Amino acid sequence: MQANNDTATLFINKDSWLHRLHPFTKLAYILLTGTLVYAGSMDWEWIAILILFNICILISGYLLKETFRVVWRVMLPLTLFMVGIHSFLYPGNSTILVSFSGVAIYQEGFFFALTTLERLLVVLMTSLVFVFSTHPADLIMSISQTGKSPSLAYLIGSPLLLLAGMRERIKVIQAAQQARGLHTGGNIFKRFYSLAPLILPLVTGAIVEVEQRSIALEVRGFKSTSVKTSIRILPDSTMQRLARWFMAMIAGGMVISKLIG
Amino acid sequence: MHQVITNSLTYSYPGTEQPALNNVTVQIGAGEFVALIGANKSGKSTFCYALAGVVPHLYHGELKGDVLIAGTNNKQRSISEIALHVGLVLQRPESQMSGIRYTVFEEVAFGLENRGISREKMIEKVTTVLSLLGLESVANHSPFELSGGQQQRLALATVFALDPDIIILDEPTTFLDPQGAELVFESLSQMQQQGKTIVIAEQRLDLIAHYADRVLAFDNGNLVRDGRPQEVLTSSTMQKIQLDWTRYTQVADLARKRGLLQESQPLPASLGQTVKIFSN
Repeated sequence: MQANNDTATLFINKDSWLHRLHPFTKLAYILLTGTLVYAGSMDWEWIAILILFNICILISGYLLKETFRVVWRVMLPLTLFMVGIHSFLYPGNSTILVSFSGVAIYQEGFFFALTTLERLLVVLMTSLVFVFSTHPADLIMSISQTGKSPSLAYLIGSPLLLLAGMRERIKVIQAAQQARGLHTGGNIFKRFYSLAPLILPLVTGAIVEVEQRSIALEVRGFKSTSVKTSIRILPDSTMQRLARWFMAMIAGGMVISKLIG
Repeated sequence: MHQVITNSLTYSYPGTEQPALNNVTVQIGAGEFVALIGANKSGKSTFCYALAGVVPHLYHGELKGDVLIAGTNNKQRSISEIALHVGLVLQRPESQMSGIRYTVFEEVAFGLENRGISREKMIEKVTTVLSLLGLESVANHSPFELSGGQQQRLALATVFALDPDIIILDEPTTFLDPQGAELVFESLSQMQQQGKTIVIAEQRLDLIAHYADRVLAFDNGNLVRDGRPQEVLTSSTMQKIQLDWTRYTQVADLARKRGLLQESQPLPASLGQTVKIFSN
């Protein structure tokens, strides 16, 4: 059962092995890669291999284009900033890599910036693999199926799914206030002053909605203590469960080894 | 045996002194279609909440008297247990979406999942209900992509799927166009034919006149009139509770004043009754 893409979530609806993977397997992969690059003291070449591996995952999951769109917007300013600063000002700079008209770029600072950027890139790409290929409803369901409190699952996942409704309400409030003469454009100060008439009805409306939604959930047995079933089947397998444990154990082991020395 | 009984029901919301319901005693039989009318803050919604157990389980306040559903006092059951017998549909359709289900199909199945119904039975039930409410074509859409009318029908579907004996609706047509409202009443009529008891707080008096078996009129938390729709909707009680007669009643009243309708003829409240009276 697949819904059309609703633009409020980052999820991109495609038919791929990546989309069919259990959310916890993808979360374990985020944990593993994050630990590898930050606790694993990997050299830049190894991190580059990890980046290539992520690119392969994204290609096979039909998500490369969308990921690239986000990655360059985030990474380009960071790259310019970090390479610029560290190539010139890194405290350990001693070896000149390139020199232009007496201005030197140092190797130590350059590679420090490069490694830091690589690490960020790995974490960003892995996170995007997760959010682009996992619908929040699947995440909520997978948490619920572990027997955890339904309220916890709701707390984690519902904000992502309720964004669409919230955005529609903002549009309506904005249109209503503009019709009554409120100017929402102009410089930053004018925009700031126009916020209050927009935010107050949004907040009061949200409170009413929360109240009604909690009633609607209660009368549909949300907090029922009886054994629950599920209409949506989240594909899982022994192989995936083993992979999750394996990834979690490696990550845990690396953190422990980092802590003890 | 009466399916719903309220005995001297009095309730005040927390922090208020004026009771929202004042000494309301009502018996509703199985399969009845009962409409609640009254101005804003007359007690209709609170009465709905009391029947569904929202009062006192979610809204605490001060409750006196009893609500008995199928012979059992609501005070003795949790809201989940009451929900096995009573379904509740609220006014704002988008507020009734769980927010944690991916498609319309899954949204309808949500309540069934919470009751531990098997997957096969869920699919069968959800398919039937979506078909009844004309939502098959949007079964795979996100609930938030639907129009207001479709969302309200979805809210009805989520309740119908649970198959409660009693369906309570608090002004479900407020945000719907006339056709959407008619469709809601038509669906409720079908549920009534299946033996369900319908209790609906509603402002669309012409639809009440057409579909309801009985009307309860509320004013300031008091039940001021209980009777057949034509009898209540054409009575002077309507002025007392600050509601207008339906346009059919107004036209017939004018006709009576101009001698076009005999004094002995009862005033109509719906189109059907109007046609019948003027055909004679």
